[in-house]
Amino acid sequence: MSALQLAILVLLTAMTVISALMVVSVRNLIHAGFWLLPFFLGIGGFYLILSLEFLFALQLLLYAGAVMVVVLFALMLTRDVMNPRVRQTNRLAIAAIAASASMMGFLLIVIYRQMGALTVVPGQVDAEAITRELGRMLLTDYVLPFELTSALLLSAMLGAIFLARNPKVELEEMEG
Amino acid sequence: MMLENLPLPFFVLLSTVLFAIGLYGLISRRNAIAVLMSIEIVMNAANLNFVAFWRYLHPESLEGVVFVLVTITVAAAEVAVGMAVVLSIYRLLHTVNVDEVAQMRG
Repeated sequence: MSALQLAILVLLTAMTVISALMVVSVRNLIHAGFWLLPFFLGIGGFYLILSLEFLFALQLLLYAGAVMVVVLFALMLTRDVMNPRVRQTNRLAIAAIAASASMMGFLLIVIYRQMGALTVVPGQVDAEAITRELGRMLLTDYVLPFELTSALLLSAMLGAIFLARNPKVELEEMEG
Repeated sequence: MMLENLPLPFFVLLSTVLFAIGLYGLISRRNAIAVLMSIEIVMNAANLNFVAFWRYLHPESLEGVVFVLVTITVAAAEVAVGMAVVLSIYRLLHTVNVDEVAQMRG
């Protein structure tokens, strides 16, 4: 691995891990929402390393675009998200550190035990054919999950509209 | 491509660390929107794992990538519905802190 590749890898890893840490730890939630952006970009960078340009584009559009905007909008519509005097952790904070550390410990033990099975060389893929093959698979072998996903998106959209509307305001608009 | 010298355990360890970070935020945050942001971190860690295992172990068929596509779609739907729920809770109770919304606690 050349020095440039190593530098890119270290930067990408540091960006992803540090921004994930900032998302869960900063007190100002607007800042936490903006820290999602380098996190999603870092994950997208790893998709690029794994030669998945299509997933990188999806990651940019859906996560760094849509999800982050929705999160920031919801943050701006509620209150106490930028007040530095308001506590942003509940009384389970210490227990949360213990729980996630022990979860990580268990996973590390499993990974360490399976290290022999994990040391494999990556197979060759035709990077240009991946997107074409993905489209073919989604409309042949995986057409049922694909259609179910579209039904899920439609019902989620209707549900979100139904939940977020304000019945009182609509009533007043009808009357006056 | 730089993947030849990059072992699979690197990706597995990275997604383990990200999963633990997301789990911490999921438990410790008070604001419901911050909890949803932590869920996004956990989902992205899982996606990275799917893709890495696909790329190293079964690059001939694209099942792992199809899984990730479905996960991304479900995550988008989850965010939309989750934010709608959070906003209607805020309208009712004027708070989105999950420890203050305890009306259904027995």
